[in-house]
Amino acid sequence: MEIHVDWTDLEEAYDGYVRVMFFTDAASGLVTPYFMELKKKISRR
Amino acid sequence: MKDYVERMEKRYQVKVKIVRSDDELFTKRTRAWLRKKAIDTELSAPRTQDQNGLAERSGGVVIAKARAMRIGANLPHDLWKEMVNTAAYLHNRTPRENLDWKTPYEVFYTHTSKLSGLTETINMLIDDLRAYINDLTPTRLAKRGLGSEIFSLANEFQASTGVVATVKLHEHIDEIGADLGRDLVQIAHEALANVAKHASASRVVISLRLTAQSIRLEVADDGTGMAPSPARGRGLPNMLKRVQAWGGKVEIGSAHGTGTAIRVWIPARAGGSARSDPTESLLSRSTVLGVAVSAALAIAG
Repeated sequence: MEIHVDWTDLEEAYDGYVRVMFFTDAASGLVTPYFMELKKKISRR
Repeated sequence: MKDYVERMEKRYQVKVKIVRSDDELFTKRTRAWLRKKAIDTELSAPRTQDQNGLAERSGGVVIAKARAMRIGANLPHDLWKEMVNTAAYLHNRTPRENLDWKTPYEVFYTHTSKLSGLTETINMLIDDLRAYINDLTPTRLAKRGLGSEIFSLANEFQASTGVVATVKLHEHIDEIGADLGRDLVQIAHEALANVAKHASASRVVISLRLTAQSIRLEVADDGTGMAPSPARGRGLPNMLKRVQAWGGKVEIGSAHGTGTAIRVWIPARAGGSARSDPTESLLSRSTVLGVAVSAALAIAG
């Protein structure tokens, strides 16, 4: 399985998240977003 | 990254082999972890998302979609997380031309369910091979010949896994005694089971040579190579015990991405110094070593 990872930094959301990382399966294009707070917690969905 | 990779492995039995990103992701710590997991890293130039094939601009597309939705609904910016989740959901369930008008969701889950089925098939194959090997008595081996047994093993492996198996046998290998021959078939079987389970190989070569000094068995594949982590399972320890019982040694040559070669050397005298005296030393030694081999097999369970 080959994946592509990229991310975008955004202004702080109401619940403290500042970055979204996208994990994309190269074969199908299925995207899974992960949300990150300031170098602490990571949340999927 | 760790969460995603482990989720793919545990939930879908899919192993991530290549991670492509720009250089910022690959910190020293991330690289070390990826190396430990035997995952290749490939760099793409920053802000050139079209280098990434089907994954092209996926993040950018989802962000743009989320932004349009948020503006269209006149929602505040700090709700972007909900918008991104919704946009990703829609992206994954929108048919795409380059997927023959299937959705990414459909393609991914069809593929992973096939892989899960493949894992079950491989496990069944390994069980079949174990049953076959357990049924391989020295008497049967002596009757059919070592070369014939190795060809049968390779054919069965190829038919079940789709991995092309090539057998290269030295012309004198049938001079190897039945007890040692049975162990050599078992060692080849363990090596092939490892190829089926771990290597993701397309080809495997099994070669067996007999010289005046040694008997050499090699099983080499063109798969992903072995990760530099402690071996799990009983395959390699079993193999080692069998080889040591004959006074031989095992060498594993593996580099990430270039396949694995398992090489076994056994002194020719253990196998009967077959080229010079095919029967005498084998018969005398096999009686003694038969006890040691039985003990090793009992320990291996």
